[in-house]
Amino acid sequence: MNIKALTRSLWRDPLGPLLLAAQVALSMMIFANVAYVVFVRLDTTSRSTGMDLENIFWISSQGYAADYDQQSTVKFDLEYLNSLPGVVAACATDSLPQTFVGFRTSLSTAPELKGVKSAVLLYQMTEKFVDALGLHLVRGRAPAADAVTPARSSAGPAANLFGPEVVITEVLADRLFGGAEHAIGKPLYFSVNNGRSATVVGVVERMQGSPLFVSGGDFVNHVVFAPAVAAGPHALYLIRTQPGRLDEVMARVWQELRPLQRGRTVNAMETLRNTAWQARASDRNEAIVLAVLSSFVLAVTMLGLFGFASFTVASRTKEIGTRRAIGATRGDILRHFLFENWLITTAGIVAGWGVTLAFALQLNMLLELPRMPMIFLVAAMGLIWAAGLLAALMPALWGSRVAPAVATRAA
Amino acid sequence: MLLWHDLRLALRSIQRNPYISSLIVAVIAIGIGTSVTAITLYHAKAGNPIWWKDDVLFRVMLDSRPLSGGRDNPRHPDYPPVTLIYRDASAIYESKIPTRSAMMLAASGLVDALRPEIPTFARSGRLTTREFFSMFDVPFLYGNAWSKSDDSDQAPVVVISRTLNDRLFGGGNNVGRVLTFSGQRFTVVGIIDRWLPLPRFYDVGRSFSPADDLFFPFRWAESLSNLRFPGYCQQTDSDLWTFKELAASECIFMNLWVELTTPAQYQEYRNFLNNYSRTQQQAGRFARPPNNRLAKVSTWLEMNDVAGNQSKFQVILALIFLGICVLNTLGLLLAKFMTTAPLSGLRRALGATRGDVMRQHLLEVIVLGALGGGIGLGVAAVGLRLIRVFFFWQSARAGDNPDFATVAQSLSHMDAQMILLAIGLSLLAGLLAGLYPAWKIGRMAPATFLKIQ
Repeated sequence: MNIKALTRSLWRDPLGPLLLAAQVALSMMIFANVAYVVFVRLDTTSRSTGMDLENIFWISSQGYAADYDQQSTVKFDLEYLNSLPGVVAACATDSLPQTFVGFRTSLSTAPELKGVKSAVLLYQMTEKFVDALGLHLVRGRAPAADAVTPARSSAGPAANLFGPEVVITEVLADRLFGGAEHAIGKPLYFSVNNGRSATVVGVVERMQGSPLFVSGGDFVNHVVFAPAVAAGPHALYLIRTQPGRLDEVMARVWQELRPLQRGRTVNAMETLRNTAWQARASDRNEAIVLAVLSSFVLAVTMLGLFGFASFTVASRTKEIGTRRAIGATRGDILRHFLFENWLITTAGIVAGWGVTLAFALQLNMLLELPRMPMIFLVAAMGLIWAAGLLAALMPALWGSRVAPAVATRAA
Repeated sequence: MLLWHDLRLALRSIQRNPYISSLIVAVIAIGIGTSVTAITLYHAKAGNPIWWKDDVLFRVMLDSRPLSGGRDNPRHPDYPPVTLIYRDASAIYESKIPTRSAMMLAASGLVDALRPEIPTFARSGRLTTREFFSMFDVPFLYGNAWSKSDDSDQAPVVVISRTLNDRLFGGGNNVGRVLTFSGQRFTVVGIIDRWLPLPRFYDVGRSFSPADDLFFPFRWAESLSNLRFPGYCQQTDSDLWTFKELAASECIFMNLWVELTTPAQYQEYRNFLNNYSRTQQQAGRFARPPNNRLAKVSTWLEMNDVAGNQSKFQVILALIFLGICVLNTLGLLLAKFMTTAPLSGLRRALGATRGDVMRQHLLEVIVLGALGGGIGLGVAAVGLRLIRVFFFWQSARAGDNPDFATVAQSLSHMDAQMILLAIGLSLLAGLLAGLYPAWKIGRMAPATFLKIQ
């Protein structure tokens, strides 16, 4: 194939090819960057949480009466919930996992935050949380039932928030002690809890407390379970059922627990799966919008490439006939048009490389994302090449079917 | 007459190549539709709902941060925290310099109308001082704000929203009736008319939620011990929730707005704040030198990134996409005009000037652009509708609070401004794409085309 002649013929009327190359460059810029943003958003929405999301639901109540007592209510409710057929385990918690609400604090391996420090999400839960969340305990044990600190009354003095035994996640154990095996029996010092320490008695494999914050925030995986009944009047329970019995148990609990007044209102119930899904809604929606937009971009660019190829084929019908008449095969003609198209796409990709990186730089600042890995550039490049060839295939095939006899006809 | 003639020529030319013409219209339509959708969503979020008071309302911020530790604003580490320590907020609130000032906190609690047929339900309330209503131009339907003495005496009074009034009492003037919030009885003294500032500049954590349903004198924060307020303690880097603990601590959680009508007042108030900070620094409470800020509403919204960089990003992408569509249209127009070039050549040979040919082609482009723009508006309307149905309503528990639907509606509403923008954009896109091809056709020597035939 005569590349030189081909380039020269493209260059004779450069505007059309240049326009196309510019489109290709812009599409590549949008494609690589959007793919990256979508990847980041979906990554935050689809990671494993470490919990048995499918079989967990939560129910909450709010005390309103003057004589409402958090401690006895929680004790009563947990006894009821744990006695139900189909329930694996139930625990009380201070805040709901998989939402953006949680108790964020910091701790250290030495007093007064002088040792290895970490920001953590702290959950005040009752002793059955490992089973109630379906967590995988890799070392040690759960806190003993008598380590659970009773609910503070809001009128009383600021007592301890939680008991002396805590469970942490494996990533936190790695960070603080260099491995789960070194964590058991070690003290942790909290910036809350009157500066008292608690001992690590167990390590769970994984727990993502909150959906990931895009701009940093490893702390969502640095989870501490502290044994306590959280202060009232809001009571919140997490209940894990046997597989397939979630709906049945939920219906029963809603029926039976609601009428038990005890100076409170049972006000909400939801599956943890739905809660997690809703918390990720805005990330997921953005990913959908961006994916739709980039499919438009790809479609319009392919349309442009298709249009250009059709136009060149149509306006060169006579030349094609002549070439065929003097011995060019159908394959030659097909290759000619595909190669012409490939040259344009490639020129666009080369220019696109630069604009994509420049745009990515602006994007990092705007959306506070980490740097885009090269793989997204390479993938966008591959996709655009493939799309370009696909768009030109039909017109090139039409061109290759032009009969040599066309050359002999007058226009 | 001439225009009429040109228009007929343009329409005939469009009909001659229906395939390529409809492609051009489709490409413009999808570009305009996408851009207008993105810009509408951004426009609704980026508005200033109290623009007429933008240079008199200020959010007060003091730098009470310790020298290290704590959470800085990730984008602007030099900014003071957005909320205040209770001690500082109540001291500053006492200042007589501002025309008005209002402290506020939001909290959710259970509402009971004391009527057995209406079960209790949770609603968001605002604990604030009486100036809130006059400062933010809140319209009253019945009754009034509470009095100055109600603020200091912790009177059991409440101002409720029209939505809550409808739900609890079935509408009408219900001033004087009683409800309970978080177990405490309150008498209704005022009912506010529909008031839905978006974004809710005074509550940026929940900028796009319905307005609060209940307003109470601020001092009720002390006695409604069931309410939880999100506070943050900088010294220990941890959260705290109850007012009792928060008020006694050095934790930040208070919101304070002031109205400063004249520049002299502003200057005086600034000096007052700086003196206050300096005194606190000398007393050893504040670790840093005065770094206070008075942010007007627009600055405040910008500081908190209320419009959201995600929406900004989508607008940028949509405009680049429109750019791609223009390039595409340019290519299509070139091809289209080249195929009909012999006709133009003939027209030139019969006496049409270059200007005539160019004008005729431009008009054709404008017609195509206008068609594309019109269809693009339809595309945008469909796009916004889809976004409203799928995205906004899925997060709001529909039916629970009718105001959620109102918020969704106003966030995805295409107003006259947006329609004008769509028309402007499509004409601009048409012109950008059409100028060069029209000029090129006009410039060609008639003989070039006649010869081939």
